[in-house]
Amino acid sequence: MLATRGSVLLGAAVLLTGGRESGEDLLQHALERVLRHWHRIEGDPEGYLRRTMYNLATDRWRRLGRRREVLGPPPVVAIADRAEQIDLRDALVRALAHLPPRQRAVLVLRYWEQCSEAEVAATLGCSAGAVKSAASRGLHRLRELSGADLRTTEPRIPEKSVPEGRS
Amino acid sequence: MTTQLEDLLRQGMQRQGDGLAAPPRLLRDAARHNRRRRNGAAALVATGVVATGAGVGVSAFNGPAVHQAKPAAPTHSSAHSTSPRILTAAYVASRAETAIDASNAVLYTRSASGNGVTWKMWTDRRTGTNLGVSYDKAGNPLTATLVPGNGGRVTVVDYQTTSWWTYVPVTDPRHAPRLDPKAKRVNLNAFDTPAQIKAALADGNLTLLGQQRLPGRNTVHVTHTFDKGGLRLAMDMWIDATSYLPVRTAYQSPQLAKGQRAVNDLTWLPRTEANLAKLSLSAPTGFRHLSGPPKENLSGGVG
Repeated sequence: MLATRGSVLLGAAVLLTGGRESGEDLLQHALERVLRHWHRIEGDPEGYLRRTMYNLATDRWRRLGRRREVLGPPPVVAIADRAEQIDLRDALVRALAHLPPRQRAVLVLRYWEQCSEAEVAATLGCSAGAVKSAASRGLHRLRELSGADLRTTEPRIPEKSVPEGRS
Repeated sequence: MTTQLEDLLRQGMQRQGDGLAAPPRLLRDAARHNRRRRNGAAALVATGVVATGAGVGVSAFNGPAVHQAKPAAPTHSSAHSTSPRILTAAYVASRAETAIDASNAVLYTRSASGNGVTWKMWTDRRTGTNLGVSYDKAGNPLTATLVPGNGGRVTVVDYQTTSWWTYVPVTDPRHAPRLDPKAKRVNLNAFDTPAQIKAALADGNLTLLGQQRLPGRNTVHVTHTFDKGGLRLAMDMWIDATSYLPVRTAYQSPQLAKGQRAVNDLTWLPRTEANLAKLSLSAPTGFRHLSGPPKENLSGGVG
């Protein structure tokens, strides 16, 4: 499982904690839990591991309370050219640290793991409505923190994707 | 609706996670910590799993870890009462291949991926005839392709350019048309027809991950690893625990963004007249008939 899905899981852990080392700690902690209860796991071990990891991350933030890790205020930038867009997307990721635990977890699941709202709800043990609300508030807060003038764009026409042997 | 903020956040996360790999020591350390805490029995389970991670080879996951941890087989019908108590990847693959061979169905596949394009596909297992239709986010059709099972001319309708054409598929690469190197080639790893799924089951690189409950059914979750374009990729498959027909696949593709996977929900429809009628394609009135595939759409066929 780690060989095939380890990079995605570690990526989520790093985004949840804000750092490589703390991300590895979180993933290892979740693995410990999974191994401890391995004989009782019904179904998908990866799903169990993921749920455990997100719950641990949320609990950890709660426990740390005011001492929550903050990577420093994100720079206020505006979109003018591509270089600034790159700065902005990095700033957005750093700004995740300023979000409440649940909003942060929802955004990582939605935009890193590409989960649907229903899948996010199943992982976090809440309703799809709560997920939608947390995602909306989280994005709104990120917009405020980044200070960027980001506009809503129309849906783009996706590129055609054609399986081999098709035209 | 996609916002620029969402796009940038997604890109930022991908940038942050790019190149990350979970070091095997995480699993070793986790197991070691547990061994200190737990009694011998728990330590045994942990050691089994450590062997899986430390070996890195995916086939190691077929080994004792799953077998020790998951002794109970999924719910079987009475006809399958001779099923072994311990599931193995080879056993699941064999049962699934047999079930596909025995099915006399029209396979309906609904695919979705993170890029917003969805696919609907119908395949007649008996004749191999296949119709695939892609849709944009709003549900408007983009392209439809009908591939006859008898090797006849392939029909394509392009709803974006309001045109359609046919071509003869070329299977011998020596006779394939020269492609414009600037043309965008798409190289999707497709696992949405019975033949493709069966080939994945048969090639041996299958790992049993355990049992999982999907809506309305118990399934066995397996993963198939393969190399494509120099990348190591994986295709997850959920197989109905009673019929052993695959009901869902999910896989990575080089054409999708990192972290995105295409997810196919498979429905094995009875081979009725109504379902076979879905395997037909004709261009809407007013669509332009081209003499052959446009240059950018060449994909192993000639007009």
